[in-house]
Amino acid sequence: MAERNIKKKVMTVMGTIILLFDFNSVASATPLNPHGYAEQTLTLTNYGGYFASAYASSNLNSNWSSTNNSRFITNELWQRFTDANEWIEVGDVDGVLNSAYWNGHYTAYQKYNSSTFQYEYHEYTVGTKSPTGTHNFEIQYTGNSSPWSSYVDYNKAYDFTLTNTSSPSIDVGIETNDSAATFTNNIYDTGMQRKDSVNSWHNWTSTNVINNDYNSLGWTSLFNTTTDRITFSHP
Amino acid sequence: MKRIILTTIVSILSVSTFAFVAFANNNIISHPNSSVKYNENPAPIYTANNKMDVNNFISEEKIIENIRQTKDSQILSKELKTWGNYVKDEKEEGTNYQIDPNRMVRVINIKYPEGLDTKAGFYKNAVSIDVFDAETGNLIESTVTGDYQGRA
Repeated sequence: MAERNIKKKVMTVMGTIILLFDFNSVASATPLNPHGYAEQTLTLTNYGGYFASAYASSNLNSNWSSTNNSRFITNELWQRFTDANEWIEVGDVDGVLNSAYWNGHYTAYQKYNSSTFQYEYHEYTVGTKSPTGTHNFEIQYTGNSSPWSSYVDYNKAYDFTLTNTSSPSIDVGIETNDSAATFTNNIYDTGMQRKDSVNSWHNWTSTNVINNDYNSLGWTSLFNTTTDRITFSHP
Repeated sequence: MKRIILTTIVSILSVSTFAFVAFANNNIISHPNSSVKYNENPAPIYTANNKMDVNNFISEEKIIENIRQTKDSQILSKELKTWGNYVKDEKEEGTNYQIDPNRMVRVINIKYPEGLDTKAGFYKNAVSIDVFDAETGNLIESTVTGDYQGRA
C-alpha cells in the first residue's frame, strides 16, 4: 500500500513537472511583430542572385502545429526592387505559406496590381515535400515577356511578370514570425552571387555586404568571404 | 622525437581540417557550371490526372482541415477544377512549371476579415486563394490580397 502511495506521488510530481514544462514552452512562444531576421544584404545593382545550401528544410523548425498554425521559418534569397513592397523570393520554408503548411522549397513574389490598386502576395511550393541534401536557388532577370524567373537546382520553377529591369539589392538569410521557431545551430548558406548586366556572375565580396540582423531572439548571421559562407547562429 | 610526433600530429590535423572543409564545400555545385545546363522547361511534377476517378482524390473536408482558420474566417468558395482552368479563371499572369494544365486541383477561397499575417507582412481584410493538388493534397499555390500594411 505504502509502495503504491509512493508511486502515486512520484507520478503526480512527474506529471506536474511535465505540465509546467509544457505550459512554459507554450507561454514563452510569442508571435513576432515585426518578424525576426538574420540576414546579409548585398547593396549592388544586379540582375539576379544565387545561393546554395547543404542544409535542407529539415534544419528549419517553425514548431507549426494545427493549433499554432501561423508559424513559419524560412532560409531564402530576396530579390529586392525599387518599390520596397515588391520583391521575389526563393528558398526553403517550414511552416505556413499564407494559410496552409509546407516544408520544402518555395518561391514567392509580391507586386502592386495597378488594376485592383492593391498589393498581392503569391507563394508557390517547389518540388516534393521535405527534400533532403544540397540544393541551389536563384532568381534571374531574363528580359522575356515574363522578365524574371526563379530556379531551384537549375530547373525553372516560376516566371514572374514584375516589370522591373534590375534590382538594387539582394538579401540572403533566415526569417521567422514566431519565437517558437528555431534552426540547427551554425547552418550556413554558401556561394552567394549576383548577376551583372551582361549575364556574368560574381561572388559577393565584403565591400558591398551589410549585416541586416533584426530580431529579439539573439539570432545572428555572419558573412565570411574566405569560406564564402553566411553562417547562422542562435543562443 | 617529440618534435617529430608533434609535427606529424599537427600535419594530420591540418590535412583533416582542410579535407573536412573541402568535403563540405564539394557538396555544393559551383555556379554557373559548364556541366549543368539550365532546364528552362522542366517536366511537371504534378502530371495530368483529369481522367482520374474523383473518388481517388483527397476529400474537400480533409483539404480544408489543413487551412489556417480563425474565429472570423469564412470559406467563400470551394471548387474542383483543372490547373489550366484555374489559371484562366484567376487570370494568373506568371507561369508555374511544377504542374500540368490538366492536373486536378482543389481551389479554396477564404476570407479573413480580421486580417492575415503573411511572410510579406500584414494584410487587413485579407482574402486568400489556396490551391491544393487534388490527388496528393499538397499545397500548390497561395495568393493573398487585401489592404497591405507594409513589410513586417
